[in-house]
Amino acid sequence: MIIIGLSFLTYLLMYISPGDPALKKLNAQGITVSEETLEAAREEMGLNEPFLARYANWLSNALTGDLGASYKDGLPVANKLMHAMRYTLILSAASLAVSLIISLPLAVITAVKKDGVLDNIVRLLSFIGNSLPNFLISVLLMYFFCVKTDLLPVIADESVKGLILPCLALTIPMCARFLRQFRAEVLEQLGRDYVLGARARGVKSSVILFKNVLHNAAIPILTIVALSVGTLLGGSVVVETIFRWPGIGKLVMDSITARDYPVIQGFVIFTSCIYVLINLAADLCYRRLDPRVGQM
Amino acid sequence: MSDKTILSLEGLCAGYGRGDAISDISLSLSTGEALCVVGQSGCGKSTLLKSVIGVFDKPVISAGDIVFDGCRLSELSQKRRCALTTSGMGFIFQTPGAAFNPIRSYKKQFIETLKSHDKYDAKSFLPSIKDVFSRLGLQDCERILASCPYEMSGGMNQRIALALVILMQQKLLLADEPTSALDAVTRRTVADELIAMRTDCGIAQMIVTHDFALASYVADRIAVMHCGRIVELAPAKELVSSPLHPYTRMLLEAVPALGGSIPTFSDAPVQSAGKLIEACAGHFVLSEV
Repeated sequence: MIIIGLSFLTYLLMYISPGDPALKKLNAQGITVSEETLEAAREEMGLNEPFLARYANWLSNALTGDLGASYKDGLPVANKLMHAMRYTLILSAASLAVSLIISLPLAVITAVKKDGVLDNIVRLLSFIGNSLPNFLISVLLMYFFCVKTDLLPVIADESVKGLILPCLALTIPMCARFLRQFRAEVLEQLGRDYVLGARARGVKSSVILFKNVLHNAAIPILTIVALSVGTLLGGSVVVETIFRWPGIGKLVMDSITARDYPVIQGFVIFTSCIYVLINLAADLCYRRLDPRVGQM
Repeated sequence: MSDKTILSLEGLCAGYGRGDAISDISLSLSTGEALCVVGQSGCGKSTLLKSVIGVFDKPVISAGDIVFDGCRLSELSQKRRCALTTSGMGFIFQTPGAAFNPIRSYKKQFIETLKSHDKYDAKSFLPSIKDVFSRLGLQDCERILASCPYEMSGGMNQRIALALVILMQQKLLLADEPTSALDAVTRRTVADELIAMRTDCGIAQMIVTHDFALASYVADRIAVMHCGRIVELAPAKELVSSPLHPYTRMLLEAVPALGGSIPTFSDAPVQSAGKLIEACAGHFVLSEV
């Protein structure tokens, strides 16, 4: 229902936005546009049909996996999205893995050693990381690693070397955000009565931390990670565009510029499906982690 | 039951950083003896319990000493002190369900507690728990162990927490208002269990409560606290029948009776300075010297 509602809204927005899709398609293909050609293209694209009929037609095709063809190159939208998704998946998985490997242990250590030297340093770095906008981080990384030292390529290719800078550009702010949020969650759990109870019973600190605190903190942490995964898989428009990474974010940016409506519409459906699936997976994990969730 | 002193407090002062919340607390507790500490909210009862167990960041002991099971705690490192107190003292919170991880099974939490004190034996674990549970009137041992605290009622959680104290073979039970969340019937059950614990297992008890009825039912002695000091300490029956300190009299007069109106409590200032002196055998009262 959510996906159908979203698809309807997007289709409506495309419908009311200015510009004639037939004209844009013909222009994109370099065809000289006469009134007759334009009318024929409109007829062929079904633009003379009423709005609801056009939407119903698009939806029935979409349900069979046919998201239409791009105005720009005539290629099937689904193929274009799947191709771009492969790159976005690589970038997302890499940046998420690095962010979790860095932020999770650091958040636990800083929560346990609250107000210590490491905690203060990490909080400062996390504050800076959270404050810097994504494009600035990307530009700074390019300046230091490409212009100044020439260690890495400016335009990301498919090699591991090409992946490093866009991955870093996504990891730095995500790591900073994770650190703050994970630390707060662990701190909150450490202050709970059951931790005091376990300490009063003389339960070993390692058991309290790893088997109780981290298990209970896993639920809010999972929510944070699930939201980030959804955002990452939706493609990072800024980072992918700056580094010319051929992921889904770049594809949608190019499509917006070219007013390639079928691709934009397909992107919305695609990302909303991802969000719904990720939330479903997170909900299933909640039930596994907290038996109370299934009983609500 | 031997009359061995298990706990002695010697001029104990403790607080949370802005002066002492309790001061000059001196008392002793023998094996199998129950002492109830009564007083208004904020008089320092819970601070006293937390100071004795000493595993929380606060309160901090500023003066005085604690001798537990023959060991002077001030002479021990914090690590050894915690190991000694947590293996020898059981702490029951006001809401015992909250003192256990609400979404972790009791079985896992019992095992990790016993393992932390090297008292876990896989073979004898279930039979000994069944024995303790049946003594506390807890049926269906395996179902309870597989349950999480959030699935249990207040009374069940209370008894399960007591079961762990018995299972750990601890020498002293510190209980912070153990019946405050219970209905009258369950309160009676828990009170009987507390009595059984000390008579059958010889576990000494220091119980903090607002409830004079509970205190006079379970305790050998009652200590009345006011403004962080003990103002009267006497055998339970004697303190209830012939209180000497004006604050104790005020507290007793404020206890509501069935069918009567709720008595008012005079907030006139009462003396809380001076020294605890023995007015008659075993009956101590705070007196300006």
